[in-house]
Amino acid sequence: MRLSPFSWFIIGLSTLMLAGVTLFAAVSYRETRNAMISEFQAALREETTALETIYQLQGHKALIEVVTARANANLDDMGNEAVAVYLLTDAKGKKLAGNLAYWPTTEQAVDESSLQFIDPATGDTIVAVVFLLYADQRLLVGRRAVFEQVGQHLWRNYALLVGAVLFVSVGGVWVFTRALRQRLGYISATAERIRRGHLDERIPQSRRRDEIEALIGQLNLMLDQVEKLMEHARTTSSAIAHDLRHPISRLRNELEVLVGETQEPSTRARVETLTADIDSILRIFQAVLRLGRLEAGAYALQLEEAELTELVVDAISLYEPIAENMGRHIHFSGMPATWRIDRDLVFQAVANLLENALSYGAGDILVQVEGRGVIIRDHGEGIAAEDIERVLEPFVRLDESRSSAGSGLGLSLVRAIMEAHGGTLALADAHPGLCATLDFTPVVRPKLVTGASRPKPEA
Amino acid sequence: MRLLLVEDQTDTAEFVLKALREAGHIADHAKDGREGLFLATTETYDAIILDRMLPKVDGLTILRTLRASSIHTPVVILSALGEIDDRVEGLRAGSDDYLVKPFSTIELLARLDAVTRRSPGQSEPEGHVLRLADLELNRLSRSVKRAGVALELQPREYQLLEYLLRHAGQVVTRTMLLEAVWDYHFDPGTNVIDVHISKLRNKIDPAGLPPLLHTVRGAGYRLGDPQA
Repeated sequence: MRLSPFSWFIIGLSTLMLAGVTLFAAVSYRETRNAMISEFQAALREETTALETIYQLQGHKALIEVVTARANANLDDMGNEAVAVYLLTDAKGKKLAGNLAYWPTTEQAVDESSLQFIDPATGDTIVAVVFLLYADQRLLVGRRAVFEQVGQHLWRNYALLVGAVLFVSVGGVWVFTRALRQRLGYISATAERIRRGHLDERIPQSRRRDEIEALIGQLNLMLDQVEKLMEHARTTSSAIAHDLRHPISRLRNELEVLVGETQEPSTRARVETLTADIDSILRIFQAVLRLGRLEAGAYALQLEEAELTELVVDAISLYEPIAENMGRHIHFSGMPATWRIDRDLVFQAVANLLENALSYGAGDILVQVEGRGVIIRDHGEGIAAEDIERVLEPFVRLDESRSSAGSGLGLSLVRAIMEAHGGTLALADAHPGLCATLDFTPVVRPKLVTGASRPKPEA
Repeated sequence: MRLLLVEDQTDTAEFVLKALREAGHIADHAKDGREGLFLATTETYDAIILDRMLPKVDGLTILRTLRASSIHTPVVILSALGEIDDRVEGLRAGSDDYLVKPFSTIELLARLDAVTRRSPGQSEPEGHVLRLADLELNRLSRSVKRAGVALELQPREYQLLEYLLRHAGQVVTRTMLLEAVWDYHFDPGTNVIDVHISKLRNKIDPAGLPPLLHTVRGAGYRLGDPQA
């Protein structure tokens, strides 16, 4: 999984902490070890001094006895060698007494020198002091340095600790990231739905009081504002269309009266052209109002079970002569499919798409009724991918000069009709041509009469 | 025709009354629903033009009351709601046609002619053969002849011709043709019906014969006897 910046922070912090702990542990281990060694050495010197005293006062033999006694006493109950180590040798290095098998170093022994070596028999570290006697006899008194084992224990525990810390931090990162991802997921899912036009969606808020909740609160407030503005824009255009319709229709009525009163044919023709222009203005207003009502959810759909194939064939029969005049063909394929729809609105949607394909597309038009709904495709230039979202907005026309006929509302109306049905309008570049899909899948489908295709009334 | 207009908006009422009278009709005007209901039940009219939103008694209530009292005068509803989504409710209440404001008087007059079925060239109970001059449409065999020559019509062309023949002599608007032949209520962005009519015209009005299918500028079409 990808790591969030916060996860990197946690991992970095725990690595730093581990490094600090390691450094501290290493330094304190070293210090403790040195302190213990000098403590040992002091104790050893004290013992050698005592042994030296015995040697000087009671002689060589007494020393051997004492050393032997102490070395043997040093065997614990299990017969294992315990902490104290002794070795007394003659000038040739032959063992006279003690519990160490042989002299541990080849170095020339110096009086009162300190030694540290590994017992080959047990692998223990031994700290020792050497003491030279008369006639080059050598006495070694040492201690098994138990702290080395302790040190090993410490290292092992330390490794466990490191593992535990890493485990906790990685696990923490995982849990944290999951929780964070989930909460951010709500935000991005809501954003996605809003982008798709569900402007009333809000990010769910919990009772937690943290930065993310504060952010969500702010985002929701912003969305309220955006929705209000959009609503305002929509109602404004509807209101303009609504209010202007009356004076314009009065104007139209007056022109109609004028046509009746005019005898002069050229004036008559001009007034009729004016009437036609006003009609197209009124048509745009009608479309704006309809779009506004559909988008506001104020349009009461007259839902009924309708045969989609029949509806599409009817629409094709309406536009076929236009296509023929252009030397183009509309090919239809499809299976009977019954959906619960508003047939007038869906007919409008199919008609708009066919008109679009005829006006802006080129080549033959393929119309297909399939499982999801209706697919209409032409073989013209299509719409570039980056323009597809834009072209669904009201009044957007890709023809920048806006010289071609049409209000730029056709596709917006199709989308609004589909969304009022709970379906979608999908546009895609079909290379070549535009492919428009009216997808009714989310619409509650009535009981499907499979296989039983209703006979199509002969048109 | 004797007509009743029930409309509370003065400017619309004046304009409609003027157009009705100019077209040679006798028109009464009721300014609110109560007056409208009173006139509609006491007088005899050929058709009633009923606004949907009225003070005192609402248009649909008047319509339902009339139908409940077995008064079957044809009713055309005018709706200022600006949308066709309440059309179904209007038709369900018993209206014969439905017109959304703003409308042209030509559209209203054409629809009034259609609902009253007063077509000069045609006797009332329609036989299975519709005739106009030398044009003949047989509804049983679904065949069409002009001057004795059988014509090959596409199904939609046949339906258009049948509607035009049933309203022969009347002005029929493009919207009326769309609604009658396709039975969907929608706004075409182009005058899509014109292409159909032109194809139909090429078939029923061949060169050399007097044309029967006429374009009425600014209104629609009329199928009529060339002598008329």
